[in-house]
Amino acid sequence: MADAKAFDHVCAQLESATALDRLAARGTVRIALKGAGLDPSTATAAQMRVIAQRVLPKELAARGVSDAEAVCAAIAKSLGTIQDAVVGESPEAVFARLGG
Amino acid sequence: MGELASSLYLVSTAAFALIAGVVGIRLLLLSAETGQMAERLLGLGVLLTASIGYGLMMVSVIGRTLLADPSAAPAVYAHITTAGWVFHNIGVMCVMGFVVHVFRRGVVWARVLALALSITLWVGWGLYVSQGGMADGAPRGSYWIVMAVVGTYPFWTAAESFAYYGQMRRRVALGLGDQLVANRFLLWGLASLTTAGSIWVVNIPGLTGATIAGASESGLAETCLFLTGALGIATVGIYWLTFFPPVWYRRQFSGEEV
Repeated sequence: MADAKAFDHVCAQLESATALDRLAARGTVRIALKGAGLDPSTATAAQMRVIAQRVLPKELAARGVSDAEAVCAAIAKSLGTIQDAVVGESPEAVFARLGG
Repeated sequence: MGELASSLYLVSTAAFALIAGVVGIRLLLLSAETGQMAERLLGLGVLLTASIGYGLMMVSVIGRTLLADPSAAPAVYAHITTAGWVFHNIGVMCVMGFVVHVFRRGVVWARVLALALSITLWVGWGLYVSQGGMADGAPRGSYWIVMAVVGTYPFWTAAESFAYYGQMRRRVALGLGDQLVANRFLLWGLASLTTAGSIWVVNIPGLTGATIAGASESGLAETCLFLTGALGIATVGIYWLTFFPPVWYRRQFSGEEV
């Protein structure tokens, strides 16, 4: 399954704002998502904003990225322009309906 | 002990068939409203497997035991059992379809696994029918082929539910998920385990090769019936919390005071 638009956007922003190359940037974001229980193929812009604000700064700091907080704040802000592509329903959406 | 075990087994099976019927119909009505395949597959799966399938099989079993000579039961009992099995097997396929559709959509290995399990189920059942299994209900080789599928697919459901529950817990910690919905994955996984448990426990006497008389004398049959009944009651309770969470249960996850 292809990665979500919001995931690709965050990776691209991270790559351009830091010294991380494409592979390292995508790997770092993937680790952040995994720790948050999210999938790169279904993550929405709203979810990626929370990841950028609350999870990614620690991951970047651990990789020696200077001013990680400011970088992540800028990435979170840039996500406001991202429109999520319509993807299949998540298990979470299905189970939310099952209980009435 | 014997009568208590038999009574508990019958009551739990009836209760399970009843709640499965209510859940199945509710999910089918929901699917008519939303147009979504997920609730349609699960609704059909629960309704056909547990309510209509087990229901018809139980009608046949109870009917036979009420006869003066159960071994000379009229053919109608075998027909009822056959119909029960057909509904049950279609229901099993629907539940596996739900698992693939919700957790592994577009994933090749999951489709192949569901197809392989379905083929094994029908081939094993066809053999069982051809060997007279619908008339005498005795476990034989082909019966265990059927049980290999019927007793294992709930573990697949449970594994997917527990794995997703783990993801949901991490989301909840970040404020990205609903606690009650996260808990529903745990409940569905537990319901799948208790279902698998009851399927295997009731078959223990057959697995050990004990005769009906031998299993009764040793108390094995009664113990297994009692445990199966208890697992059935547990499954009914879990279904209730999963599909009809009462207010007091919802409050456990909303932070409100009870």
